[in-house]
Amino acid sequence: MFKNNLTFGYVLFVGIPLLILIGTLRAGANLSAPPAVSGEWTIDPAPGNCAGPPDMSIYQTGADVLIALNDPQKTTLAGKLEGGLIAAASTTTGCGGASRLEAALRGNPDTSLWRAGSRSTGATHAPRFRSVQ
Amino acid sequence: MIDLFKLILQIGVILLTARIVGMIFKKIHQPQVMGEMVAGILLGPTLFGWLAPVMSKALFPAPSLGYLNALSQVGLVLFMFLVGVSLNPKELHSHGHAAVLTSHVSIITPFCLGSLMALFLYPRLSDDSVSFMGFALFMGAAMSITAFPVLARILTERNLLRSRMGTLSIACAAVDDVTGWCILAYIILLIRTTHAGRPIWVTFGGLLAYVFLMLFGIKRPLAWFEKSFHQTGRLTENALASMVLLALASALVTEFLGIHLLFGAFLMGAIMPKSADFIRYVLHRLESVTVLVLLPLFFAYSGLRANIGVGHNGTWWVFAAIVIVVAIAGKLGGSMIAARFAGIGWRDAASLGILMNTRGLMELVILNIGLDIGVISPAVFSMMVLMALVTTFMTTPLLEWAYPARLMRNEVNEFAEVRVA
Repeated sequence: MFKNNLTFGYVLFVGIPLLILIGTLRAGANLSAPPAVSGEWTIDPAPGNCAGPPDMSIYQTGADVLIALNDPQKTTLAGKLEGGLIAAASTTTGCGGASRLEAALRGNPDTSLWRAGSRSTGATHAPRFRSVQ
Repeated sequence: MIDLFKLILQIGVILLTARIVGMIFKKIHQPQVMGEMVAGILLGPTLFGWLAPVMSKALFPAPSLGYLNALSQVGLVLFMFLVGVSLNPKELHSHGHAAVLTSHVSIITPFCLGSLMALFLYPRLSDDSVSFMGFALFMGAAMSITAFPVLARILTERNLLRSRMGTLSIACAAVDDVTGWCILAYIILLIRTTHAGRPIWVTFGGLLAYVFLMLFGIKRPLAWFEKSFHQTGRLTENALASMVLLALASALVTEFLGIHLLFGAFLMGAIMPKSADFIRYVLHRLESVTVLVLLPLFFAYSGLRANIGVGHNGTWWVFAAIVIVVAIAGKLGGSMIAARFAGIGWRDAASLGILMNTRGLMELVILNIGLDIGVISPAVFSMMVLMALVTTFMTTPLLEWAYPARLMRNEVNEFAEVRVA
């Protein structure tokens, strides 16, 4: 009788979860996640008035991004990645007066090229630069 | 160029913090290793980096972390070798089919729940460099791990190793770890092969061939160590050095195969002879430096990568709470229900579930692998680290509630009498 119980136990507690697992993997196959943008990026050419090697680091969790510019002020901008567009803002004035960064992600994942514009608060000047990973 | 002064200073600060916090945790009846894990977290951005960012950056500048990581990886290789040495899945046979059912359920239930949770987390916390399958399988594997070494430590400190529930827990945890690491090896193989552009069958075939060679070629000559030990009552320094060299060599092979070097070390330990006195001797000789010096470096390196501070928004904490609840439901709940179904009493079943829910150090090892291969982001890493800390911390007080010490002592005495008879 115990052997029957054991078989039933395996079906109930192992078999059914295994089926659920297989179903889960199949159901999730069509799920999509935001494009991967985390890593080190080179800014080319460097925005005006920025000293030091032009680059930035992007830390990503899903659609949330944290962009750390390698400028003397160590500007960091927090924002969102949605539909291939990044909009990030900083509470402090950073490199070249930048406190906001808007970028469009283009290209394939291997040669991701960006075109981004930064705007200083209240000013109309918007230097454009390209970032390459 | 390595800054030796800074490296030695870092090691000193880490060891001192680990000992102090470990002693504090021991005072509140938590395992010392739990305190050492927390010490590592506190040295990172969670506390030290938040309170004194300038001092934290000065003590742990980014360029120096590579050396710390290298030392900690050496410690992990030795540690995983020792975990493999101390595992003896054959013990499960003595507990019968009930134990086998319980151990299998304690793996599949949290694995299934972890993968289900991935349906919710993947579009919110991952990115398209990781496939859903890789993410879901990793989350499942991370949820299903039990910290065999910490479990053994808790049972030893509470004098429960010889109890019926204690031996059953150890046996189930042993099977859990072996199975969990096999699943993780497959996941890493899947992810790394995809990124490396190498056909999966090449890596998988190489791994199978290596495992076959280890089990049927290398294992038999290793009996020489046990024979030498039983002849003289000890192992020479050359013999011990040979064991370490074998562990390192095996680690190199699995790293070359594209799995991870820890698997090779674990596998070498797993095929070592398994007589109780031999295992005890090897652990006694090799554990000291590993546990006292090298493991705290690993905890600190993990802590420097984790941020469980107050800087997170509400959404992060909600996700972290979901991860913790799912982890507990899967492991504690699954193990308890399976044990109860197998005819074990409610008190023992609950205690078994509580013990199996301990994730501790093994969880940190897996999470670091996941972060290194890019299957989880730093935010998910931090959430899972918090889950590991919570599930490990709750073990001792919950166990005291479910099975008070005085009841345990009576049961141990009865069980010992039955075994002697």
